Amino acid sequence: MFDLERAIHDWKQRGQRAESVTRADIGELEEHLRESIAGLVNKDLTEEEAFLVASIRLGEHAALGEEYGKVNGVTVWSRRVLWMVFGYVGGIALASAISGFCMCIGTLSAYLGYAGTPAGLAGVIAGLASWATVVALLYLRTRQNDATPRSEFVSTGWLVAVVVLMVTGTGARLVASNVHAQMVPMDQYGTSVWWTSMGGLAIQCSIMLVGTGLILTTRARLSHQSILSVD
Amino acid sequence: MVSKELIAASTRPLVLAVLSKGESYGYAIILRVRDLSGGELEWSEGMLYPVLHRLEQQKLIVSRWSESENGRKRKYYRLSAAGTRAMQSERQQWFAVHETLATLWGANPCLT
Repeated sequence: MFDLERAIHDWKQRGQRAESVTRADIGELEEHLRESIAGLVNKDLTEEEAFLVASIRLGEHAALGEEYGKVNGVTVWSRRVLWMVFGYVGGIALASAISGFCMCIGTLSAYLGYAGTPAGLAGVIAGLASWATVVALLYLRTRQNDATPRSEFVSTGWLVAVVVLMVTGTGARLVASNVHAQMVPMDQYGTSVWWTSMGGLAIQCSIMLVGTGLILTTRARLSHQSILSVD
Repeated sequence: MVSKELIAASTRPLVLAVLSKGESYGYAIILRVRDLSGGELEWSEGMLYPVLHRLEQQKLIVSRWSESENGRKRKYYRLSAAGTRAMQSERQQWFAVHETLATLWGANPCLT
């Protein structure tokens, strides 16, 4: 049995995948689709036929997304930047939460009377379990959106860039910390490390604060264009 | 049927001309153009909206969300003062092309 509301809902979901199409745009297109369907049903088409004809007349989502992209360029980029900031802030927050959890587990094990090695291992296992849960949740989430082709989800170029960045970043960090440990005199090593880590923490905190601010303000601005706001 | 290129070129003057008759919304604009052209002008309907949004960015038209008779939100567009001027300029240009072609080919007897 054909369910018109379900079909329109799915059609909207597909339309929202195009990053250039805002919620307000989808609302406007939906109103058009509904009116077109109503007109066709009046001409004795079944709801299913009317939906098919109306959605074909409205045009392919990909072609529409491309046309909207030409007018919504700023929206597209602010959304991309927003996602990058969100990913960074979210990643740091998640990593801090997990490492905090590991420390708690390690400390708890030590408090319960376990020796250094088992207590430390308990922390490591807690960390592994947490990350495994995160990966499993992300995997389930992507499985739900299986209609999105993988190539669209993450392009090969981006993937290569991320891997290169990860390898060079980790390598540089390893080399730098080794050189640092050898260059700085023993009695000043602690102070030096303290400054580096506190400086890093301060930078990270500022980025997180600015990032959260940016997310809140941009989100408000983007939803301002939403269909829900009537002048 | 009118070619794709000509459809693309004529969308802007057509939208401005329809809106010069009064406030309207996407679906009604499409119906109006289809009606007036006797079905000769078939738009890929969704493409009208990016055109409308571009005209809005150029401040030639203004929009507002309002409730339609069926109780859903609908976006209405109307011509601004700059839009009226743009339409007059389009009008001059299209008449210039039309008159030249009409002189060369002779007026279409069906339209007299």
